[in-house]
Amino acid sequence: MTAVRRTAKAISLTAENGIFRIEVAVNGVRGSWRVGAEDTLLSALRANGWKGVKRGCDTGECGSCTVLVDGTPELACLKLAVSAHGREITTIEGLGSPAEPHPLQEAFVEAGAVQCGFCIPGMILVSKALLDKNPEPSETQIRHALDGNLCRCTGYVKQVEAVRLAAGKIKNREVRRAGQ
Amino acid sequence: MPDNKTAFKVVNHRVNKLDSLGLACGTAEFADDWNPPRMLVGKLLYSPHAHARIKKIDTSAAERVPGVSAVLTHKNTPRIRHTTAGQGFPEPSPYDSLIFDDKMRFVGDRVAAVAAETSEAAQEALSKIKVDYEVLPAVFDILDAAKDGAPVIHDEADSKNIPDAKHNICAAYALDIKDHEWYSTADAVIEQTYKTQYAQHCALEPHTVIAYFDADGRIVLRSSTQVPFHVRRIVAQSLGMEVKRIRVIKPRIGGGFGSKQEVFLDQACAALLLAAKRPVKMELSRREVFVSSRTRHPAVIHLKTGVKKDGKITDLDLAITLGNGAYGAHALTVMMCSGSHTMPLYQAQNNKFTGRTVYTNLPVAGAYRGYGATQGFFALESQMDMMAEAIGMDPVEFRLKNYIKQGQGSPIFKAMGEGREGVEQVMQSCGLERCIEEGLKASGWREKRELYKKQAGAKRRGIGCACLMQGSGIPEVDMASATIKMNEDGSFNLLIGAADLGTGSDTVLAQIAAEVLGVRHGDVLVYSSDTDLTPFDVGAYASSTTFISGNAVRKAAENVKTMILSVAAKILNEKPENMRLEGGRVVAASGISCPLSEVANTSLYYHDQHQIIASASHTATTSPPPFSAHFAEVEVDTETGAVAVLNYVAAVECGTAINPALAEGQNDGAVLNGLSFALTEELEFNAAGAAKNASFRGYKIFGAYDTPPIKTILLSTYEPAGPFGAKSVSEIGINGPQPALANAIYHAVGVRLTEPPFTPDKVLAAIRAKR
Amino acid sequence: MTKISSYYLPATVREAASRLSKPGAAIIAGSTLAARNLPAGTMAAVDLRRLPLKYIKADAKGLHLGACATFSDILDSKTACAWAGGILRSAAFKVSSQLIRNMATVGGNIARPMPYNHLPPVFAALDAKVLVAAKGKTAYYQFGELAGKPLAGTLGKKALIVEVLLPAATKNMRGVFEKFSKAPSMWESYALVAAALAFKNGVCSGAGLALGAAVPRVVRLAAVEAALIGSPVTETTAGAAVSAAPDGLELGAQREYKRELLPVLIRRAIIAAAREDK
Repeated sequence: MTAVRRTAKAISLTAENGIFRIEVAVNGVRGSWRVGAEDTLLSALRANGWKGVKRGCDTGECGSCTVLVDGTPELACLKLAVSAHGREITTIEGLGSPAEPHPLQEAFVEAGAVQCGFCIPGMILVSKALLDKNPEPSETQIRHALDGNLCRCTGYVKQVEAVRLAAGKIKNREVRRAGQ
Repeated sequence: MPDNKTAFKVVNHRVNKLDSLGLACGTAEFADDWNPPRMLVGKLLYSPHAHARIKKIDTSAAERVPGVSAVLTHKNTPRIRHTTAGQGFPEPSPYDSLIFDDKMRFVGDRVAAVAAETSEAAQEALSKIKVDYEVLPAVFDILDAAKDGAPVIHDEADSKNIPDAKHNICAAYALDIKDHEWYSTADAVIEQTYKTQYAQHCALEPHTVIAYFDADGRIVLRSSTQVPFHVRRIVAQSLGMEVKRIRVIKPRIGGGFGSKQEVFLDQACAALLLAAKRPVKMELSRREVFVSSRTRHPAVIHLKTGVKKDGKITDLDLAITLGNGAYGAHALTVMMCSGSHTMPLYQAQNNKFTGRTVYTNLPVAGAYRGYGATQGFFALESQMDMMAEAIGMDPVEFRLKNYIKQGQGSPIFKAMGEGREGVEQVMQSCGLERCIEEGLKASGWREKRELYKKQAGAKRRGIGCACLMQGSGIPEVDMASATIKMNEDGSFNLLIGAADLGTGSDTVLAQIAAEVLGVRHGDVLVYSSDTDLTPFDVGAYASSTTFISGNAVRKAAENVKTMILSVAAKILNEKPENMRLEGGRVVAASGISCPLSEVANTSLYYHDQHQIIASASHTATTSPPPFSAHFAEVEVDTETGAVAVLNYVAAVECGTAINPALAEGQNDGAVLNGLSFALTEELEFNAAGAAKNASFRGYKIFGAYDTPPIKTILLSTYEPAGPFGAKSVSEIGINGPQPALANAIYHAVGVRLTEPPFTPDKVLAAIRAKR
Repeated sequence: MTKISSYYLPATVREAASRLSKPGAAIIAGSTLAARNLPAGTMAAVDLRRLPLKYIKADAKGLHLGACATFSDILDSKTACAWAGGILRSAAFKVSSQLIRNMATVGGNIARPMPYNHLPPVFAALDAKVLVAAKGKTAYYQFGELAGKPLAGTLGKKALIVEVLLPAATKNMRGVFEKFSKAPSMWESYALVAAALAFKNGVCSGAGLALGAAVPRVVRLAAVEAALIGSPVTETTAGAAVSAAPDGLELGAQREYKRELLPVLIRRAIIAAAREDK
């Protein structure tokens, strides 16, 4: 039984037999996880069924494990699983599904920006954070935002086009929504 | 000849790749995205020495670690020499590998494996394996390795197909086609040595295999592989069991580029399964991928050429030594491709090729996009510019005077294939001249060649070019097959052995089937790369899938079409020759029609019931090359040596592009890979043969912000031997950047760089040396 | 890795410092390095994310960068981007990965002497002060002297960086941050140069020049700075000043190349910093 003690303000998590019990929300669903003291957020997410988060290098150098932590793109392989306590994690599965894809997911498909697809969840999550902040980014801004997500298949050409295409889709959606 | 743009309904259209949406939503499953219950983790122990014999190995302490189910070494695994190269049987590579050997031949060679409940338990067990090594002298330089007195890397008696083990030569080949006395007609003779570097594919998904037993005790391998059928055969061979005991399933793969055209992890994983009697997963770490999977062959190329003042190349003598590292996978074939896929591009009168591949005590080289042509073209295309300068001709004009044209052949084609004799062929489709034209326009070549003649200041600009060819599959060797069956709603299942490694071959092949059957590509349900359920295919390599598997699909679809028309003939009371398939219907010349679903239901349920299904196979008698022209504009900082690529244009023709978006994407990716190969990539080793930069941190591949402007211009020709006129496109692009940049740098600063990567320190040293 | 048995998320600097003073504790800030490289024997990880240290604010003393502010926070702050001619903005922009810019913190970037980190040369050039809480005492230390102090070895373990202060006098300096590497998105660079110049009546009145990456520890190029002061900055004066650079720099790998490269980079950084129209 993990002890979670709250002093006036501090939060203290104690492991039992090397296991921490944490509260974390993934894709809007709150839950409890049992995580090993050395587990990374990447392995904990995958162990809990979120296979869209990929392991490309496990050392924070390729971006394949990108997830949104409280809305900010971060590298899940560099973070301890226990650090996710109290946080909201968004993975690619939380953005959309084949039945109801997010405009970014649609755009990557339409622009031909998906080849092997291994880097794509990370790319799309970073792109989402970019477009949330900067709805009409320039090419340089797009490339700068994607600079930590490696891709060996595409040369990034159609991926940059996809982000632009998505920006347009999102704008149109909002225009339409505003008009309703 | 059909006009590509108007004749096709599905082929040559930019339809969405069938698996894109699943990949973009994270629902598509890669190897590690599905795990069988009670799965163990398998890990490998690697040699710390570049060359050593295992005198003693004690695994008793490792076996006692809690959670450990199996420990394997050379002592308890079969000693059956095989090659790890994923090639057609009998493979043209030395049989010099074991699952585990008692001799270690590079830092990163495999000592032992452990299967355990957790990663931590496996690591602990590995750390407790006690090994006594007899350290031996090692050799790292590829020229030194072949000299008398160099340490013999493969001194064992039971290896086969090694031409000269005493001199570490794992492949040798020579070709001499003499038309006249060498150099007797040349006005200028150019001789130059080039050295290309070790590189790694860096596919984002590391090599992963999961081995488990099915309900009947057969071994199932869920493998991130480009070659499922070769995996099945080689695993069976190396374990000494029958092929029928093994099933290989390829799920989605996260890239390969040739590194997964290799069977080295699967047999170790299967062996652990047999020992542990529980499912085992082996997933390489990124470091292990860099060091202990496969790499590109480093090479030393000596090229001597003769040329006449009028621009005719009279003599072409290419001598190449490639380093295969510790084992000989792809030793002969990569070496031969460095000549067979390059020399025919220019119609030299005298042609000579001398190739050797040598063992060294370094990581193992294997198949890598370009496959020898990359190394060969660096030399050849650099030398083209040198020859042009020697006779005072523009480099593009010079190439236009010599390149192989439609209707022409080359004696090289017949003499040199890939691991054996080749096939005679003449070019039935060649769009190189148009590629050059479009590239000249898009790059501003003429203006820039003029403009950059007079420059001042520390930064100097230049523009250079390279022309390329490749091949489409291995003629008379590669075979592909396809099965198509019809469902009651007029949809079809397409079963293919072909391996989609992210290239989109599933989609391309669906488009081909859909074109024949008159349906949308989404009505063709593709299932690929399962050795139990899909018919044979050699796998994804040699740029063969569209050309060879595509033809198999086309043939199978034609057979299914015949069966459909036969049933429809009775429904519509028309002769088959008066009917066609269009828009999901059978349409008669008279105008009456019926939907495919009516044909399907009739055949399945109503009358003369049978399943409409057909299979077909294809091998090719030619290997028609795609052609490409690359133009690179650079700015060289003469004070720091930095090379900035200002613009890169790659015009490529692949026959009919079955899916232009996918073809462009292939070329974009290949070009970028070639650019970082030219500028930043090199696997480096210390004096003891250990890799120094085996990580994405130290081994730089370009990211989105590093990428210069790249423009792919896709042009079409029509190749009669290809399905709907298609050839191939996946490899050719990677071969352009190294020579194009070398030529552009020469144009900018008058310095000829012959040892990539062109890092700032090397460029500056060359500039200083010139002064 | 080390198996921690407790994970502590303090809400105040006091709580954090107090927890750190007990044995076996180590800080996790941005989690780009520390989390997976905890020192052997660490029993408690102290996660700083809840501390109110993400601020970036200017006052009469200068620009205060909270230790938990990230590179992305710097890029989002107009004040930080405008400071000293954009030197800080440039250093943050050139960090090679968006993910790292989102995660890595100001404090984390200086807590350990990693030669390729971007902020140390900037802070050295700007004579920054570092506010450190340790053993119940919170005090400012000169950035340039921190490396020499025994305190430096305890940063992240017993001592907690609270903020970095860029002195008010640096606000209107003209500064540049240059990174020279094989490709922009590469952490391992050949050299990092931070150059900040102050002018009075067209003449250089103050200079901060620091070199990173090419040397194992950040170095202030004091001789070059001294040579610049008192004259206008031109190609000639910059070139002359650079030739005053010490020969005794520990250049490590590729030293022949660096000997050629560094004078060029430093000279160019000086010229670029001096330009008014940026």
